[in-house]
Amino acid sequence: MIRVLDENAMSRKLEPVCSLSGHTDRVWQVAWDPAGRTLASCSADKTVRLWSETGAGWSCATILADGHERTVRGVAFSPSGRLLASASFDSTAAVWDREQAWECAATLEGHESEVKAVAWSRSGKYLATCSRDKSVWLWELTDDRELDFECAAVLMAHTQDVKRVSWSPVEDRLASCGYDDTVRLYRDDGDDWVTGAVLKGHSSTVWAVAWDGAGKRIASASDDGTVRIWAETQPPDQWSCVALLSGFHQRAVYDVAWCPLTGLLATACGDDAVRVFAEEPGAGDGGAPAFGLVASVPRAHGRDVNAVSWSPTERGLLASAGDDNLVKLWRVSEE
Amino acid sequence: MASSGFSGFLRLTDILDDFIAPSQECIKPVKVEKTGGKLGKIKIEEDGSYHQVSAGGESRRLEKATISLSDCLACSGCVTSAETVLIEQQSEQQLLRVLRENAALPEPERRTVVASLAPAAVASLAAAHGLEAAAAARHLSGYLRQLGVQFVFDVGLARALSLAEAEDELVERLTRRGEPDAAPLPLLASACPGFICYAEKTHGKLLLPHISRVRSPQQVAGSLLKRRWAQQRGTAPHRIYHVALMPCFDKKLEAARDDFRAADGQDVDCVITPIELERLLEAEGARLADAAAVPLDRLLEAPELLVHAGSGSGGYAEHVLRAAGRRLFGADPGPVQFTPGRNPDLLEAELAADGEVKLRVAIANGFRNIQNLVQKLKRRRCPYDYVEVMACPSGCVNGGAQSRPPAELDARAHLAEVRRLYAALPGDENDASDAVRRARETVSKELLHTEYHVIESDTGALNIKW
Repeated sequence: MIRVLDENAMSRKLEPVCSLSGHTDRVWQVAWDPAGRTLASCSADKTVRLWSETGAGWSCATILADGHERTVRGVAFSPSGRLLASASFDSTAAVWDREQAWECAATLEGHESEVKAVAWSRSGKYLATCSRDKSVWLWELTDDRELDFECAAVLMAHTQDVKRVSWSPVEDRLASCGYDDTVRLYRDDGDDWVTGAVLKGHSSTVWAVAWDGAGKRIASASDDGTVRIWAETQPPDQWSCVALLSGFHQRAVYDVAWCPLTGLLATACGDDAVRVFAEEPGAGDGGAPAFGLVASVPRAHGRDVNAVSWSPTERGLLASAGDDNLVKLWRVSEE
Repeated sequence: MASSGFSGFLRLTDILDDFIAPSQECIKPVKVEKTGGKLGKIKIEEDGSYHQVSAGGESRRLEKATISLSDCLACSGCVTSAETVLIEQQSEQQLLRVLRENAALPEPERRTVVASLAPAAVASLAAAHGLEAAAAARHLSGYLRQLGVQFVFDVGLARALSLAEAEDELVERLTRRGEPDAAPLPLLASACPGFICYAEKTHGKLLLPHISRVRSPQQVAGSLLKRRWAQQRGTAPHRIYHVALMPCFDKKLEAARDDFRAADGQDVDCVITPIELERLLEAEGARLADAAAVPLDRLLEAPELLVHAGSGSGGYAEHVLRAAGRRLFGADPGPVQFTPGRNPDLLEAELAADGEVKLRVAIANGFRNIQNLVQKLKRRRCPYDYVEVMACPSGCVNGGAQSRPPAELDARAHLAEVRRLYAALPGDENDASDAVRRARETVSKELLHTEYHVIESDTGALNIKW
């Protein structure tokens, strides 16, 4: 069931701030540095671009080229903001150092095939990568100066291509999702990393997974056109689906972002739209959470929207990336 | 996930991927004898056979192309490489079939069926059945004989030969270090087929020169049985069927390698594992302790049971450190104390003499440590002279096809018990020294060494799932 929604009936607006062009091929992901001042984007054009705001507006400050031989599929800043990791179809992840004028300081090799995503743990201790080779790797930074990484664990829980990894914002616990339609959680049990819960429910590829600000719930975005919200009903490994956002997206949902400042959920969809949902606590059956659509831009990008990311410091500021080679910034109006 | 029987390595390197890629051809070149002349036609006869009809009208029946298990191993472009296809030739069902068929033959035509038992597999079964290891070995011996196996041996002598060869190899490399064309250090142990398959497929050029050329105990046992022991008995090698009890399925692939095949057959015909043995017992509703406890046979006058000091994977690092220390520096540290490195699966030990560190060895178990080792090798920053590399975390005692722990016990406690049982097996190397010396004198080096092959991978773009 697809609900036909009237844009004017929504309670808030998603105002365009600017459109950043420069990439010469589809833009796959965008990521903010912790200070909210630099935005990184990565593209099938094999580069990473860093954008920042000056008096004249947003512009491209740096282009990180020559780091990868194929598409760059994901980017993420470390919690300190000093390092930027990028994931590439060339089977490597690269780590770039702000203190060395964004030189490529390390290349993490080992995956058998395309690396799809990178994510830094909250503590900054681990960098997670995931790949079409079905595995999730954890890398540990062993030398701060030399930027040496060692492989700390290789997690082979998924049965297919792993699309995304995402760390909890409050502890070193990891979620991953992929082509096998599941979300899987991992934690350190002292000796080694083990798989905790497996979240099943989506009927197709899960493209993205995001934690809420409190680290208690997870949102997952799927090829089946829905977003599911999961909550931990019984720590450490019992989770269940507490809300289902269905009927809003006309195509695959490629990304979901959960803002720690406002609690708003943003989605990126294959129908070219960006949507924002707000939680109505207790409005669901039996007091379960429910989410309502509060803003949307039907043609946010000229083609598929691949990623959305909330600014960590500025309320309501949202970045998006699309198959139209553009990075766009939006602002959600206050209620 | 140990349930598949293989080490994590083979699952990672796509050998066992069930995904059937569209229009991807088997890249194994099949030798076809081509007759000269103009191209003819292919005709399908009523019985389903294919005949090539030449321009002149002559009809020739075409042979069916066959792909063997070892072909699949060497090729990385197979349409389907489901594990059932690969290991069907070596399951416990296959063993039963062979034994049944053998028993049905008149005695003079029967093959001699012999079994080799790996101590890690024995310890695993012992732990699962609440037996001491030596007792478990004897009950296993009794059980296998019940099934139709005629001789049951421990692999201790074979391992002793492997260790002696590895020691020689390390001493040679250390002695020639720095010379032009000298074989590189560190030397990496060759006993783990999961690691070998991974090295051949993924880092051939980098790793193969470092890997020891010594055959694993499984394969040395095959060499000893089919060449030396067979000869002593006056039995032709092809009349011997050799089954090995090993801790993982990777050993099945090792047994099937072309390098371990002579004109008269493989040195090891079939590898079975504790989980498969458990299936046999379960099918009969039997317990291991129910079988008679029959002493094992002694291969070429070696002791009945012999395990070597050190890790549950065969004690390679321990042995070479002490032996090389003795031979090169006149120092023997006694039983080696390994200290854990970054994680419990990376263990290091040094040997000092004259106030300096002379030798460094390590045990690296599991994928993450092997990854880190590969990275160190790439950057030429590896501090070790010898590394005992094993694909499975905790080594062979935790192999991919070891028995599952009994329900009440947690995995960690069970593993500790397997380790304890392994270490409790008799292990006096002095008992074996005469047998080892004689075996080394009478077995040709060729039978104790092997070669490796870089495998080019051929993943087409069609395989990419976005």
